Amino acid sequence: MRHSIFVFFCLWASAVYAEPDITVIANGNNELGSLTRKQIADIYMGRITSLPNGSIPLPLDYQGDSEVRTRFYKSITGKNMAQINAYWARLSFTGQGNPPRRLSNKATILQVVEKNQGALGYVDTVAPDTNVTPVMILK
Amino acid sequence: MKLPKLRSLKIRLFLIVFISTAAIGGCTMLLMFFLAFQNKLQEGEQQINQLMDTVEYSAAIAAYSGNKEITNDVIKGLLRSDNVCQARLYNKSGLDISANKYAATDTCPEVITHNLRSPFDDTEIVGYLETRMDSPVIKTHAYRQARQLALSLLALVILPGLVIWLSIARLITVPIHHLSRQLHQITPGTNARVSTITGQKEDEIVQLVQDVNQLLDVVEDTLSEEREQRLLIKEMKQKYQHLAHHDMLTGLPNRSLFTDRLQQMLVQAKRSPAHGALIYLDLDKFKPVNDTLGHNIGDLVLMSIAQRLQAAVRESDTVARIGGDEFVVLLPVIESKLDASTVAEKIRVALEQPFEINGKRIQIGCSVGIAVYPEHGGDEISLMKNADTAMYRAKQNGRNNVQMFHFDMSPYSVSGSWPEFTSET
Repeated sequence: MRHSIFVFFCLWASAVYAEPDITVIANGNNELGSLTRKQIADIYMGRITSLPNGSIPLPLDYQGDSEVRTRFYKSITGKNMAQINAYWARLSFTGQGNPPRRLSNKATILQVVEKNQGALGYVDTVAPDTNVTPVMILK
Repeated sequence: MKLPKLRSLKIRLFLIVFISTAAIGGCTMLLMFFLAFQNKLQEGEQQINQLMDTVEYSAAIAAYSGNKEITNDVIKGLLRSDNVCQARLYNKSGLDISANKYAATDTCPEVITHNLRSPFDDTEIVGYLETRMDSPVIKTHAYRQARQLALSLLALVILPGLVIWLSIARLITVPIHHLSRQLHQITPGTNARVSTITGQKEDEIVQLVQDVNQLLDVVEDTLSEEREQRLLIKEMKQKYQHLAHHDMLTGLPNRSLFTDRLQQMLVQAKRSPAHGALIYLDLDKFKPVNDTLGHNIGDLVLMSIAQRLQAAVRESDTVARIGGDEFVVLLPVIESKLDASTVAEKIRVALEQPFEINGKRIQIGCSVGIAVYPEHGGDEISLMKNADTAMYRAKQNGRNNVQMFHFDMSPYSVSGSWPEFTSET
């Protein structure tokens, strides 16, 4: 009995620590309220060209296939990175569609989101003092 | 011999093979044509569906993102197929691109629509891919292919039929026809035989021909043998019949045949009021000829006598030898008693002439008695008896003379019965 409680605790702990929630964030002045997973997917996959409040969306992404990025796309589209890259390759080839702008790290993303009204980004944790507002929490 | 109208095997066989082949071939052809036609039509539709499946992902991306370039690529790709007449891709956000093969769109009424699902969410339909089937082209293709298949099948059925018919005709019908025609014209018993067709192999029909010829041989032999035997029997019959009714030595009718003729005369005489005469003659001085010169000479004399007797009478008269040296002549029709006397005298004179036998002169004569019907008797017995009586009287009168019976003459025998004809006078 004692043994099984220990195993359960370990599993719970690993789950909590290995995969923290991803928070999708928008500019603090952008009164979007909360967005759906589909809305976020449409913004990031280039389908939506204007936000519900009229502003032009500027989705921000990370360079490199980081763990957060993989988890983010898996969560909103159900696809892996190779599939997402293939999608963008196809669209880019026509010269009519571009993938989200890719920034080097979380700090830069936070900076750009704070400064641009239509910008959106996603981070693993959000510092409480920044001028961004979460629009969705991806578990 | 005229051949009867036959329902020829050759023609019947040809009809059976031709009709069955045509029926089977025709049915198969029609069935195959329709099946193939339907199949090709379905195939055409299937091909379009497969083509649409192939481009569906690209189309879905185009519809999802509203990308016109990809849309154009998809549309162009689809239109490259012969089976597609019009392709169209549209979504609810204003993307709607289509292209036509023909100027007029109403030639292709059949529309196939595929729903385009979001690449990121299977449950969301982001647009529609629509194609119009080029039915006329598909139908033309299907028709052409189905026709080709059906014609091949027809040939596949007809050719074996033809081969079978030709083989049967060559191996069976023609030889049988040949044999039948020949055999029909042959009369059994003649030397005609049937022949095989040149180049025919040693098969059952050739064996049949050989056996038929053997049978014909046997029939001919048997029939000719039978014919010969029948001829022989006929000859024998005639010979024995002649022997039974004729004297062996002289060939003259014998007593039995003479009696027949006499009876015949009597029967005929009863119907018509005619007269007849019976001339009875007995040779004079014949016994000494036999005794002194031998029986051979005697026989030759008898034969000459027979010739002279026959020469002395008409053909309708009958000369018969009824004993050793006794002869009778029957004159069935005479005008009067005088006729009978004339003939009798003629006979007497004829026999009076000497005979030349082996260089010897032989002199004999005859005593002749006449009985006339109906005057001297109405039946054979009385006629014979009375003629004999008259002859006897001639003997008594010194031989070599003719006597006509009259009722004053008394029978020479006391008993009055018919004497045995063994007169050795």
